[in-house]
Amino acid sequence: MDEILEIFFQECDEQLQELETGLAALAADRAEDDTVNAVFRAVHSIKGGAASFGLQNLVRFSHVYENSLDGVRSDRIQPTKEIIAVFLKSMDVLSDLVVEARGGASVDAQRVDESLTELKVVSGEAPAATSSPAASFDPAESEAEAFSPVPFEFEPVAFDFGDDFAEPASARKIVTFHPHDAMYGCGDDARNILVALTALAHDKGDTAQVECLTEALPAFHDLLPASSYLTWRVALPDSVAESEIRDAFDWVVDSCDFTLESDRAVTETTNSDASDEADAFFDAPASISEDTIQAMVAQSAGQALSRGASLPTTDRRLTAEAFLDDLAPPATIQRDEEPIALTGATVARKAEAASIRVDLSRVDDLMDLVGELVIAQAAVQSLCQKAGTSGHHELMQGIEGMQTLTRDIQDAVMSVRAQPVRSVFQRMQRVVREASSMTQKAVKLVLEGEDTEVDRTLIEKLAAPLTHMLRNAVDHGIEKTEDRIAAGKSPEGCITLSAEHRSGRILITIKDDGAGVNHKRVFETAVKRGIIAPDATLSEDEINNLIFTPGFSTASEVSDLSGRGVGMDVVKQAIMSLGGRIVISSVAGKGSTFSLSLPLTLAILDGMLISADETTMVIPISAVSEAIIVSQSDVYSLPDGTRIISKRGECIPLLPLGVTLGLAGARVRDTLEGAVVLVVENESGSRAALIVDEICGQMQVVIKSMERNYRHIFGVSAATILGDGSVALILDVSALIAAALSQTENKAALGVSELVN
Amino acid sequence: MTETPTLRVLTIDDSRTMQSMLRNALEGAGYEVIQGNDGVEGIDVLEAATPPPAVIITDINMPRLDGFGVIEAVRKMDRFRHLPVIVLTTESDQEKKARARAAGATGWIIKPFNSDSLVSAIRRVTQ
Amino acid sequence: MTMLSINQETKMSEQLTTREGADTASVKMIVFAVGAQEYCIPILSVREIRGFEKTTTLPFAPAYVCGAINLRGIILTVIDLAAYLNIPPELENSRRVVIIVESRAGVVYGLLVDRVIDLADISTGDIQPTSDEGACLHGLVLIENRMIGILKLDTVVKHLVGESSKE
Repeated sequence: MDEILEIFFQECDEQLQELETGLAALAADRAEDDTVNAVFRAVHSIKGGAASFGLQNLVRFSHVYENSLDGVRSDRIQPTKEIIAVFLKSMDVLSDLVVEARGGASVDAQRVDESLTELKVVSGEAPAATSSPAASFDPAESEAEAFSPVPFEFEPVAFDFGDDFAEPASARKIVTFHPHDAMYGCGDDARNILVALTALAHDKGDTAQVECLTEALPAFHDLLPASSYLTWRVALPDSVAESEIRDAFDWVVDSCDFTLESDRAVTETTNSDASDEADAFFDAPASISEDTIQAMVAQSAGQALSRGASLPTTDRRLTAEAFLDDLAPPATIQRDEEPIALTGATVARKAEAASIRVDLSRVDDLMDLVGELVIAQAAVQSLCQKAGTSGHHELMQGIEGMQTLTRDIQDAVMSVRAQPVRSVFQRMQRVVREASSMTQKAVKLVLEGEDTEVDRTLIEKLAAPLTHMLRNAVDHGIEKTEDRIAAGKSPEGCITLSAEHRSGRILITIKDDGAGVNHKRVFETAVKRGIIAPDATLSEDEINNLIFTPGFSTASEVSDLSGRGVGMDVVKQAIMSLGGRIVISSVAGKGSTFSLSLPLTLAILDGMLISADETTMVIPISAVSEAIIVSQSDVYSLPDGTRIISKRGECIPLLPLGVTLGLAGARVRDTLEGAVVLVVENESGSRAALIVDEICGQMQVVIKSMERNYRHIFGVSAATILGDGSVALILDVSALIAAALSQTENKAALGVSELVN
Repeated sequence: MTETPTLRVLTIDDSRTMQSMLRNALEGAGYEVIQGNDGVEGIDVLEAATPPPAVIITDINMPRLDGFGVIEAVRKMDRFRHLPVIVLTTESDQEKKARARAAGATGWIIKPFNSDSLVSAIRRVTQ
Repeated sequence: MTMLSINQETKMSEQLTTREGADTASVKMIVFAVGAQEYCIPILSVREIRGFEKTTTLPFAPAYVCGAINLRGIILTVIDLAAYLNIPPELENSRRVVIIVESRAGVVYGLLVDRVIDLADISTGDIQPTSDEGACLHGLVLIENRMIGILKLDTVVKHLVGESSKE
């Protein structure tokens, strides 16, 4: 059951997301036909599951919520802006109640009651006037009660028709019923009821007497196959309760005439009414066996063919049906025509249908295997080249074909792991909602490009930085309402969160229509914090980028919202650790835009293969800004022995890669004339020039952890496996730049101590 | 009771929670369970199932094709015109029942259900 | 105490990891040579044995870390046991193999040894503790007049993962 509960909670998350999507669409006035239904269904589903698990708080709330939504669904209620706001707020409460049910923080009862009241006002259950939360409590409680599990009392029946016949007890209950045609049309059968009734008798250690009244049966040639002609009479022991009998008819009260009489008066009728045909089936007073019932049903022509193929009594009926089909009854013609429309619709829907759920670890395993395949393929290729098979045109062609296929498989597996950013984007609606209510600013969040897909490993890591940036945008980006009005802007601020694919990466932008970065204040703060000198001359861009500096905060008073000791520097760190970059642009009075560029996956990387001191290594291409051949005249030595290279007026520290990484045999070259240097750049635009021996090419590499079986290595972020099966290290460019910028002495000392060990 | 072959039950519900509970209860009672995750899929599964199910249990509120639609569709299929369809839903109100009935539902079970009630409802139409 | 060849059928089905102090537990060990000295480790910790191949040098690695290799997609490091134990290795040895070991915590690594000798059942009661505390060996054991060191794998892993690099 725990497993199912876990499924339920997973599903709750999905439903809440569905709810959010739907409500967002409603709010933006782009609701489609099914939107309201989907919203209703989401809450309904949560209620249904919660009821099964006896999660009363959740049931109580979702029930009221569902009622209000039903009003909208049935067009009784117009979803105005205010009503949607109530729905959104309730959604947050519902979401928290799910967390609570999961064992998380409990939800403030007053908040729940407040939402309940609002929902009831929407649905008209409560008066619009503010009613006290206490007043709303009782009805909700009673509703919850009304919704508590309704046991379907209907004991499992076990019976054996082959029992010895017990002498009928004195008093009997007589049940007479005549099924309408409709009952057969509903997949039911008189036999089912007979079996159920017989079982009731058997439960009391008694038997039932069944007779079939066939007087209504027309002559054979007048017989309509889909019509019901027979009436059944069943005598049950008096010990069978009336309620039990009624339960047996629970499903057919509307589709069969049913009378329940007790005893004597009818006992006579039973005998006198019994037709010859009925008598033929059983000796009165009949004890009945299952076979008998089947035989009776089967041979009672009309109804006989009214059964599906799924029951054991089929054989004989099918014969009857085949025979009767020749009579071409109207019902047959009718049913031939109608399915056509349905089948057409079914086919159309099939295309969009099938999706399966796969355990994530299986996809990850697949990903690993494909990684292996890529390596193995490259290995075969390089072996063939070494073996000098380049003359074998067909072999080379085959290998190339394999290469293409391998890449396609890799792409295909990547796409399996890819997910639209929607899930994380939608979570941001709540972030903005809460931030705006906390800051008393009206702010709406517009989402764009939610369908843009990225690897799921990345999606999970996007939530934290986005949350922070959006809070920041509401708190610092959007002006106070009165300021907006004074500036002639709409009182409601607007933040646009968008995603798009751009040259193999994903570009996420967060754009607000606020006041833009206040350059003067940023500058002053930076001076105050000792980040820059008071007389520094900075470009606008440089000033904008100051907000990413550790310890920087522009809010004059630390607000509840974003002043949690986390600054934009932490956001930047997070983005960088994902292999991303972040850039800010700002127009005074018009707003700011943060642009994040991220790789599509954390599993593979576009790398530049380089070699330094006989070691092949990989540098993420995203970090490489240019490759240069050094001319010695551009190189300057500093007093501490470090060297810099001047490039278009900019001085970049030079880093002899092999030496920096403490590779055995690495030495510092006296002259750098003609040396190959890769200029790498970190997210804040700091640069370093790595001296390498050779650039060997570019390739997509599968990222493998180095720390799984070893430890963190300075300057190395991960490793990969090359075509020949050997291991190559992927360099941590940020760390290398940091090393180049701060003096390398500490790092060198660290390296030495490691070597000594 | 006489020896019966394993009966197949087709459950149609868009909630994985419900599907899991149904599967649990039904398999526990010795039924074989096949599933459709919404109405459209349910019909597809029904059409493809060999052997066909002995009974369908369907939710009402589902995307794409709801429970009423499922019943109507089933009733229009030659092979399954008389297949018992039990509606499983939290809707306890008469209107839903009546609609399900009009569409051709054989019976209904009110959620939340317990496995006994579920099994006896199935027995009611498959004995 | 019996000596068993690698191929010999053994009756040892329930093998235990070494526990000092446990009286007579018998542990199946794999015996190998590093230089002139023989060592052993529990066979249960061994994943496979493979030939020595070229490793990728790792920055700032201790001298006994040969470098990284790729074992079917997993990257692991190979430890040169001779350097680790400060023993002169055999010269010109083409039989050097890497014993792939997996620690209880799941860390996989390779031990570069000069050659694998055989398997042995070692009774923990026969282990003579070595004098130097907490170092590379659990102790010594005498098999057919050969003194065999029982390698302390926990220490190896600790060095590798670098929890206490100042060991």
